[in-house]
Amino acid sequence: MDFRFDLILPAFGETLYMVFFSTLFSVILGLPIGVLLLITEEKHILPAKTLNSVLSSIVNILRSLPFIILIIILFPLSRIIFGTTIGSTAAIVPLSIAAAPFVARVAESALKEVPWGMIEAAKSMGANNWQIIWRVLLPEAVSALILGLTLTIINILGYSAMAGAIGAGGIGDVAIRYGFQRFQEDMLLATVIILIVMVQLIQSCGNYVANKLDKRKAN
Amino acid sequence: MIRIEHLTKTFGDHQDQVHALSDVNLVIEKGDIFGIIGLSGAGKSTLVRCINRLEEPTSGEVYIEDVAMTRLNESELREKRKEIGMIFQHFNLLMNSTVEENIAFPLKLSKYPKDKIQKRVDELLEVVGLTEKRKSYPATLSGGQKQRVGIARALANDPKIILSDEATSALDPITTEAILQLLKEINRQYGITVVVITHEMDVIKKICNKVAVMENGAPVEVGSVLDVFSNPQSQTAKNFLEGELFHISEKTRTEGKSASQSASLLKISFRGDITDEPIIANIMKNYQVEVSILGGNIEEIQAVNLGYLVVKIQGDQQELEQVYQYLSSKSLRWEVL
Repeated sequence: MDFRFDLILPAFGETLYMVFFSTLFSVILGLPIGVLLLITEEKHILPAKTLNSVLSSIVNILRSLPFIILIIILFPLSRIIFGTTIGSTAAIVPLSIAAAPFVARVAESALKEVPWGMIEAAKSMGANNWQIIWRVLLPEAVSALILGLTLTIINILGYSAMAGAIGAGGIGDVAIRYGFQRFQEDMLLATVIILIVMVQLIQSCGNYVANKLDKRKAN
Repeated sequence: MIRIEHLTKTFGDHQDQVHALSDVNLVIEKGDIFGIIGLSGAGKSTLVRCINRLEEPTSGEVYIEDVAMTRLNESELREKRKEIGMIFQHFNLLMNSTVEENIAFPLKLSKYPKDKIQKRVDELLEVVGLTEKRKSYPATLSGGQKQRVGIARALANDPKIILSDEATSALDPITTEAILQLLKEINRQYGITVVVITHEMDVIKKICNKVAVMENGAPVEVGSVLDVFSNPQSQTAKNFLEGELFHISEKTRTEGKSASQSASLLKISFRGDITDEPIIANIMKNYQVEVSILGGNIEEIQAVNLGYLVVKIQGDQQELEQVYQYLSSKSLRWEVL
């Protein structure tokens, strides 16, 4: 059987599509939760014990579910939102929801690194909580957040390949149908190489941007 | 300007409570540079943080221009805080913002229009002498420069009060001196009341006009710097002064003690114009005693000379008594060590 370059290219496109939108939605969902996890802690700017433990439990539960099971659980939600459970668009729902709690934890720990003194200084100048979040926490944690985003994208890329196994399309789908089920080793190799190159690229870009935005060290 | 009444602050729960402040009463007048000195754990930092409610008082009240701080709600408090600048030991600058962005920060919080922010930032850069560094990030600045940014930021909203929480403790002596002079200048130029927290008597001596000596969560001595320096009442104040200014070496003490019965070791403290009078010469001229000077120092505090001498006086008991009488007749303080 021939090497099917015409299959790989659209699959690559589908993967990019899934990863991009899943990252976007997981950040939209996860970042606010991460901020809330931090600021509702005891002695932080918005202490709320109950909310904090509820959020924390939800995050933990979602993170403990294996992704493949999460996809199955979320089939109905995909159907409600996109009218289908098959294809790259439908896969965005479980991918976003699977990655959101990860984003929340990553954001929480990135924001935790912002020295408390800076928050106090902002308070002493009359900043409200909203201003502390937007003008202190997020800008000061930006490089750690970018590194967290990098981790998230790579995670979603891995998950998207898994989603391919149950009809989401993309690189993972090609790897399973051609590489695994039809024993086309060249196809399998091609998908693996694409994934490796993508991960390397994402990580390098992430490191570069994070480093550029980090002004905490001299020069 | 600031009136602190029966202020207490307790940390921790019922099992292990720490009384950081216990029944503090203080009045800080407008235009004062008010020093609060104490050892670590004396509660001085907690006290100053209760003034702008970075720390919530457990009981008692802080009045700023007769506004009761603990009765303000969150948004009133935020507005009030804009009238109180604060500078910190570790500067607490935004590391991912440039010097000018840091100085503009409080103005942005107050939603100033852009052109006004620019103008005010230019002024403030001028005041603290950092115009050249406006585009630099804090990580590239020296400690002194960082604190200047901190001061400019604290001044941005035209505060009536500046709280300085160990602002020079992380700086070398020369930089400390420059920062202290800047604070003094600000106090003089803009009439801003400054509250200075420190554990160094030197800081008090250089810029403060009043001082409160804190111990175990309460002031043990409050007064003008001149009074406290020339006539410390509490042991804590004496200890601070011994360490800083009136250091008498152990060797001198033992030498004095081991002297014969016909000699005594005196510490004479001078203040003001009396410093110009030839006390020692007069003693030697008028009485049958021998005087040897073991140590001494003169400091200028608040433009008043403050000095001390440790002398050994030898002579018979009767003559010594007369010397004591002579000293007592002068407006100076003396004690037998």
